[in-house]
Amino acid sequence: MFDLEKEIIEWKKGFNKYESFEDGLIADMELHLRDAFAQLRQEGLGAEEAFRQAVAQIGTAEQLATEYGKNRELALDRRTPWRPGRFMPALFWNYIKAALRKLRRQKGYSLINVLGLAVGIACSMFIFLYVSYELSFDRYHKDYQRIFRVGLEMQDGAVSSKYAINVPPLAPKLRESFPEVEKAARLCFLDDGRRRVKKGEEIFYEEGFVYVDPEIFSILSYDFIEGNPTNALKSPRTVVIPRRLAEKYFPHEHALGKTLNINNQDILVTGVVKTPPANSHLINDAFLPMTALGNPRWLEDWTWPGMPTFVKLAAGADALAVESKIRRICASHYNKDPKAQGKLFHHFLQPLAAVYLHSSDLEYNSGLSGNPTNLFVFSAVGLFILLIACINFINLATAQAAQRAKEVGVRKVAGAARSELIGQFMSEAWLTTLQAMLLALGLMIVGRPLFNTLTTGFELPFAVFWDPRTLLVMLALTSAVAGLAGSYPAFYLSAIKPASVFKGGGHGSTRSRLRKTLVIVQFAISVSLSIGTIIIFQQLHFMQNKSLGFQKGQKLIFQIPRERGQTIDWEMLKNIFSRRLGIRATASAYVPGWGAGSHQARLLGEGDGNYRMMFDFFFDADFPEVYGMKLAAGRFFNREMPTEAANACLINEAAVTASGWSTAQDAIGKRIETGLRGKVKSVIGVVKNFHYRGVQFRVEPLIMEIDEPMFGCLTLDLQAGNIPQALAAIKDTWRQQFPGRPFDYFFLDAALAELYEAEEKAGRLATLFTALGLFIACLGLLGLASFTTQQRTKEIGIRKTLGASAAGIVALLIKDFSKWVSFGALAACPLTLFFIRQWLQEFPYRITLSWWPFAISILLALLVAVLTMIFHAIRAARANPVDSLRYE
Amino acid sequence: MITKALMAASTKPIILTILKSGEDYGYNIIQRVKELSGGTLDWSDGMLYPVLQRLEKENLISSQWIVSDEGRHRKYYKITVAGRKALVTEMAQWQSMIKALNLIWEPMPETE
Repeated sequence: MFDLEKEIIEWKKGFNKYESFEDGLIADMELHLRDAFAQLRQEGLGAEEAFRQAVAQIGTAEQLATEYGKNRELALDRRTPWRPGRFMPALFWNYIKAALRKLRRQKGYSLINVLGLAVGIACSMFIFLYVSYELSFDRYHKDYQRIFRVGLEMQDGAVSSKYAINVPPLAPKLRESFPEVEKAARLCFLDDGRRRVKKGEEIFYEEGFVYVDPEIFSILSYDFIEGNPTNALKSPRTVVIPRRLAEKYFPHEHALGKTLNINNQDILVTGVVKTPPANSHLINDAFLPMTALGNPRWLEDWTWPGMPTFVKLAAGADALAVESKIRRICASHYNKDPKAQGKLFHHFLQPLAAVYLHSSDLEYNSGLSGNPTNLFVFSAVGLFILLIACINFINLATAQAAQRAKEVGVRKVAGAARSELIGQFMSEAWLTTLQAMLLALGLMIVGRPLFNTLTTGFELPFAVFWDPRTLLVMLALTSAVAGLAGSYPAFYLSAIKPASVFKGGGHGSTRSRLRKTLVIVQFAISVSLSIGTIIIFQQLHFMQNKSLGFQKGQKLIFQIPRERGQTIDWEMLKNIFSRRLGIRATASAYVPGWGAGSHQARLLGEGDGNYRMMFDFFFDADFPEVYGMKLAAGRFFNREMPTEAANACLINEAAVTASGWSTAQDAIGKRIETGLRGKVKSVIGVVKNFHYRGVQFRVEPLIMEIDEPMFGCLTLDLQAGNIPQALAAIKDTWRQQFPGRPFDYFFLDAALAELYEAEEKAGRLATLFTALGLFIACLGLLGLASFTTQQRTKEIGIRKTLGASAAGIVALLIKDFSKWVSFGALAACPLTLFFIRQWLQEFPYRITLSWWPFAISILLALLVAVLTMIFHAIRAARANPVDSLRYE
Repeated sequence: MITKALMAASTKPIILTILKSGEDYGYNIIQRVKELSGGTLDWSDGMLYPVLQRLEKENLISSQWIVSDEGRHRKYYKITVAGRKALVTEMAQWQSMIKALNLIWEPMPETE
C-alpha cells in the first residue's frame, strides 16, 4: 500500500547529503510536492503515479543543489565581512555589549560604582594637582639644580640654631675666592619692603621692595620686559620694578630710563620685570641695589646672620666640597672676631628646589613656605580615598558573582577560555572606570571653586582641564584604578566552575569573608580620617585659645611711618592718639605673637662669657601694663625714670633657665651685654613666659629692652571704650598727623589667628576628605546591604511566617555589617594613634590626646553605616512574606 | 523550447511581475509561470525555489508563513519597494533588448 508520508520522508533524505539545502527550503519544497501531488490526484492519477510525476516535476536533488550552491556563492562573492584586528579578542564587541547590558540592567549598582569611583578619582586628581604644584616651587628657574641658598648653622655648646639667612660678608667672599661659585648674591629685607612712591602730587605706598646684589638676576630667572639684567642696578640710585608698577606709574609708555620718586628720592628705572610666577617662594618683585644702603658697619659683620644668600655653582661643581671649603676659608674670619669665640659657624648649601618645602627648621626663612608633612598626608589620603572606591567596585562585583555565574558557565561551556573571560571582565571594569573618569572631570570642573577656597594660596586655574598632561595623568590614574579594581573580580569570576553553577547552590558565599575584610578596611580608613580631622581641629582650637601670656583682645595696632634716620617722639604720639579717648597706648618694635629680633648677647661675670644668639624684644614702659603681662620676680620699668632705659632690661623665665639660675629671683641684678648696641644692662625683672612668636614655636630665652629708635608700631587698647566710635576718632587723628597716608591697622586677635592658617587649611581639607571617604564607603555599604537583603528575601519571609517581628529582622540584617564596621573602626584606632602622635610631635605646645575623638569617630561611622543600611533592612522586613515565598 | 540559460535570465522579471499583482505562494507562482510560457519550459518545478531564495536575499521580495483555510502552511511571497524599482530597470532592459532583436530580425521573414 502506498504511504505518502513515508515516501516524503524518504524523498527528503535525498536532500540531506547536499549541504547547500537549508531546512526552510526543504520545507518549502515539501509543500510544493504536496500541492503538486494533490493536483495530480485530482486529475485522476493513482497515488503512486501522482507522487512519481510530482517528484519528477520538482527535479533531482543534484540539479537543485547546484542551483542553490549558486546562491551561497552569491553571498560569498559579496564584500568580505568586517573582521576585528588580531589583537582584539574575537568576542570583543560581545563583551562590550554584555558590559553595557549589565550597566543598563543594574542601574543602582552601576551608579554606586561609577559615583564612588568618580568621587575617588576627582579627589585624588585634586590632591595630585595640589601636591605637584607644591613640588614645582622654584623649579622654573634656569639651572635650578645648580642654585643653592647658603644657610648658616651656629653651634654654641649644646645649642645649635639654623638660619635661612647668612652673614653679609659671605657673598662677596664667595665671589672673590671660590672659582666653583659662578655667582653669589644677597637679598636684604629692610623696612618691611614698603616704599612711598609719588606720582605727581599723589602719594602711594607700594609693597614688595627688596635690596639685592645685581648678580641675583644671573642666578634667579627674572623675566625682563624692559632693560637688561646684566647692567640693571649697577649704580645706587636705580630700581627694577615689576610690570604692575610700570603700568601704574608709566601707563602706555616705556618705564625704562624714567625716574620714579621713591621715599623722596628720584630713582632711575633700569628694568621692568614680570611678576614672578605663583610657584616662586620669593614674592618680592621690586629690586633696589644693595649699594643704595651706603656702607653700614653691619655689612662687614661675620657673626650677624641677616641676609638670604644665593649662589649658583659652576657646572659640575660638588656642593658638598664647596660646603667644606667655605668652612675652611671662612674660619679665619671667625677666629678674628671676639663675638664668635666658643662657637662653630657652619655654612650649608640648601638646594633652591628644597627651599620652599624644607625650611621649617630654619630661623628667619623669608617668603612662602610649604609643609612636606601635609603633602605626604594629603597624598596618602588621596590614595586611601581611591582605595575605598576600588573596594566598592571589588565588593559589588564579587557580591554579584552568583548572578554572573550562569553567564560565565554558559560562556565556558560554549568554549570560552579563562583568559577570554578575564578579558571580558576587565573590559567591563574599564567601561565603568572610564565613565567614572568622565564624571570625575565634570565633578572637578564643578568642584574647582570649592577646592580653591579650601586651599588658600593655591588657585587651580581652569586651564588645567585643557592641559593634555592633566588628562594623561587622569587616564593613567583611571587605568590604574581599572587594573586594581577590575583584576580581582576578573580572576575570581573567571574561575567559576560551570558544573557547580548549573548544579545549583554555591552562591559564592565563601567570598563574603573577603568582602567583609574589605569593608573593615574601608571603615578603618574612614574612621582614621575622621579621628585625624577631629584632632587637627582640637590642636588648632588649642593653639588659637592657648593663653599667650598677654592679653590679645581689642588691641588695635598700626605702623608709624618713618623716614630713614628720622626720630619720632613716641611719648607725644601715644598722647595724641590716646588723649581724646582716655585709652591706653604703647609703642614697641614688634607685634607680640609675630616674632622678635635676635642678636648676640652674653652674661657678664658669669658662665663662659661667650656670646649667644638671644631674642630681643623692644618695648616701652607702658607695654607690660597694656598687654597685661605678669612678673615672676623683680619689677617692670619705672615710667618716672627714663634713664633706666639705658642700663636696665627684663628677661623671660626661659632665659633664667637657659642661664642656669635656679629661681627667677636669682636673675635680678645680673648684668648682660645685649646685642644690638653692645650695652651692658642689669636685669631688673623676670617676665613670665609669653608667646612672642606663634604657639607653634617654643618660648626661647628673651631679653626685653627699651630702645626707642627700634620702635615701629603703636598699640591702642580699646578695651574700655566703644570700638566703632574709638576707631573713627583714631582715623581722624591719623588724618591730622599723617595726611595723605593710608591708615593700615589691624586687631591683634584677628592677626594672631592668621598665624595658624596652615593648620586651618589642613583641617578644612581633612574635613572634606573625611566626608568624601565616608560617603564612598557608605555608598559601597548601601550596595552590599541591598544585595544581601535581596539574597535573603526568602529567609526573611520564612522568619516572618514563623513569627519574627519586623524590628527583629531589621536588627538581624544590620547586626552583621555593624559588627564589621565596628571591627574596622576599632582597628583604625591604634594606627591613627601612631600617626597623629607623629603629627602632634611637631608642635611644642600640644593637646593631650583624649578618648573622645576616637569614640565620636567610631560612633559617627556606625551611625552613618546603620542609617545607610536601615532603608533596605526596613523595606525587607516590612515586605509581605507571601510575595517572597509564593514561588516555592 | 526555451533553454535553461534564457529561462534563468528571465525568471527574475517574470517572478517580480507576477508578484507585482499580489502576494502568492510557490506552487501557484510556478503554475503561473508554466501557463505563461505555454509549457515550453525545460525546467523543473524545484528550480523556482533557489530563484525565490536569491531574490529574497537581494531584498527584492519578502516572505511570510501563512496558514491557509485548509490548515496548510504556505510561504507567501511579496514584492518589496526595492523589488518594484528593480522590475522597472529590468523591464527597460528587456524592452531595449526586444527592440534590438526586432530591428535586426525584421528582414528575416523575407528570407523565409
